[in-house]
Amino acid sequence: MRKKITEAQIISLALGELNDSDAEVLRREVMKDDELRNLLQTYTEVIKGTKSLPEVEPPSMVKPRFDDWLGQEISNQRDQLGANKISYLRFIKYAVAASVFIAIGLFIGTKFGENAVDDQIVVNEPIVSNEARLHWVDTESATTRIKGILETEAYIEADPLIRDALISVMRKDKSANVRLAAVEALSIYVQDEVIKEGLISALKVEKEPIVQIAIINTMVGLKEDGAKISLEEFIESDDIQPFVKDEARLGITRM
Amino acid sequence: MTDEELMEKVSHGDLARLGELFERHHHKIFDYFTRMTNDHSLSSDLVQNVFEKALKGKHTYKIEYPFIGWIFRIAKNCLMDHYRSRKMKTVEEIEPYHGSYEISMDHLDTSNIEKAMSRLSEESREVLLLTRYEELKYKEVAEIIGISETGVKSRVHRALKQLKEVYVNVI
Repeated sequence: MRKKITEAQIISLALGELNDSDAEVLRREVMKDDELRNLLQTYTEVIKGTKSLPEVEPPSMVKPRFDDWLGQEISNQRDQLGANKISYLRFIKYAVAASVFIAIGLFIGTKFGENAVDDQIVVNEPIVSNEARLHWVDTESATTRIKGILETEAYIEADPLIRDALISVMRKDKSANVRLAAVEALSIYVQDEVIKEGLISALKVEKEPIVQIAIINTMVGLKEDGAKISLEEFIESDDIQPFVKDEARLGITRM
Repeated sequence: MTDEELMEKVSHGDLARLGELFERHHHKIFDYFTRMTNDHSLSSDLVQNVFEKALKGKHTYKIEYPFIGWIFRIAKNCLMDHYRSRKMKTVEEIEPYHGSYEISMDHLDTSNIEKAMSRLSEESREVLLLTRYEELKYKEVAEIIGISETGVKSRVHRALKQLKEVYVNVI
């Protein structure tokens, strides 16, 4: 006795849910019966109808509304990064200020100490080699490296070895915070040609937005054609965050 | 770039990529909302909500998960939130169509299938709308609706049966 074909099987056949051989067998049986054939045709038509319904077009204001909102979100993100940078820079500036006061205090202390009574023992400041001043460069701790940058900052102008070491840190240190501290330290002496070149080449390889923005702002301060051209080339790069490009564009208008 | 790669970039802070995803998919999502609610203005608001929630929840996205399933799950949740906030009946509570209530066709096309679909229960209409997009397999639809894959198949069959009845006997 022929097995009765159910409506569920017809639906499965119309939906394409059966494997090829089962579908072929079922289709042959269905075609033998007018009622089943009509049912399959109806379901095929209905399914085709649901799949080919045209998409309802959204009103024209949907996209501009989304674009405005996304633009605001991107702007908020940039402001937040800027605020984070300001907090960090404030920390660096306080640390630098504290170091300067300590240095002044030590200087005054030794100066007045030199004028003291003869029977006082005068202790000469130990001579520290550049290698010793740069001992922190290869340490594991990012905090130690940042402190090292603050300690050696005063010697950048006088000592090419220290200047070059800081440029190397700015380009290659694994910590974005350390690279940022190096940018800040070098920015004080940005009129030095080697430091200018160092900033331009660092911008080409830097991937962290907060450091990119610090370099951009330092270069903007140069107000030189070479720096401007580098910023224009930077804006054309593909893998730069849009809000960083905006910062560069803004910087160019200020140059 | 695939949808999944774009969304991964968004989750890492490249917010502009969400614009590309919006371009690709907001029509489908708007279509889904309009066919479920028959309200263009509400659907526009819900589309915006979906992408705001996608951005807010960007850290929850995993690149292994098909983006289209993920965004439609957010869309479904937005729709449920809307129903709850309006103290309307949920999809599960809507009674199936039994008789002769009038549906306004002002906002929709007047093809026979559309007329018939508008007369189905929300549950049936939803499963047919979601499964008609090729990118959404039964597995993704199951996760969007919150039932098993077998449950989706069963619902599709039931919905098609209802649709056939309305299409043949009423329209």
